[in-house]
Amino acid sequence: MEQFRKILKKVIEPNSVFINCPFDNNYFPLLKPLLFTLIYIDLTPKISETSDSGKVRLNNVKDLMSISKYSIHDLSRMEPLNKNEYPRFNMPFECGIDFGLKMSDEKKYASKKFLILEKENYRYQKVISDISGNDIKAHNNDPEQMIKVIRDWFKPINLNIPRHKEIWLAFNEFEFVNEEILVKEGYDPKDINSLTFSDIIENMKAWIQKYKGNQE
Amino acid sequence: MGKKINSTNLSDKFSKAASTNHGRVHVVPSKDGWSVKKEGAKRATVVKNSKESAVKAANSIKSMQRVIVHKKDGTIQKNIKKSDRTQ
Repeated sequence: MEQFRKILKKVIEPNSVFINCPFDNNYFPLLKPLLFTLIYIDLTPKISETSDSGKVRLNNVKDLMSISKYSIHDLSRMEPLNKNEYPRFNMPFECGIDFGLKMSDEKKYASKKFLILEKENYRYQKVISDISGNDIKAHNNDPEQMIKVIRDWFKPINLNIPRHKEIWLAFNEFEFVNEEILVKEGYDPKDINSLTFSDIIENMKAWIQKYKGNQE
Repeated sequence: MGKKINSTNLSDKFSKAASTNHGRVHVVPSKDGWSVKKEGAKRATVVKNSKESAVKAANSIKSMQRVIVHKKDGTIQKNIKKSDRTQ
């Protein structure tokens, strides 16, 4: 109960976006453009590190949800990665928590908005039909489409955000630099575990800030 | 979990990389074709229907020192130096 009261006291940050997605190397090529797009359009991604010491991860997730005005829940990878593995319920589970949080205080969280991502249109109707009526978009497992879907969803909120093509081209340029620097530093750029998410976000921020500054 | 590193040091490198121009030209697959973009430019110089014609267009840019051909996920497929091309 005390924990719940603490959450209710937290202030919602208007530029924060909570991200609920898989953390594996198969998803990494989609996570990078997702993070990059949010930073490019001046938003702040909030993503929980996969193993936070000293704090239960779920509490951390709940804290991030409670301060984020926006949430992006990617439900495209619920099925097992391999035939003999189990399905992955973390994403729909966290999505449910976020909906529960919003419903726990309709007044405080009135402005909270959710974007649900899927790999193909209308698949959610078969697996999690309760979310019908929310904004559900398909990225088709395509990094450029991921950028377009995210950018287009935020466009009505911020009319000044650039075309998706500008972000896609910038992302490609960043990927070259990312690969070059990380390989030189002894990291594997394809491994999601090479750096922490906060490092990845810091690197993107530093690059984007300078890149956009050069164009002004 | 990823390794926590000296992030200031690393992010400085990213910041520096965004402000240097090595005459690189990027060939990027897009929904509307293959875009040819000079490093640091906001828009594509030209968009071609095929990768081959995009690489050819990139090679013809005067300031070009290197052509970077990207895959559909943004990663690098080919990194062609001007000197390699002229050999």
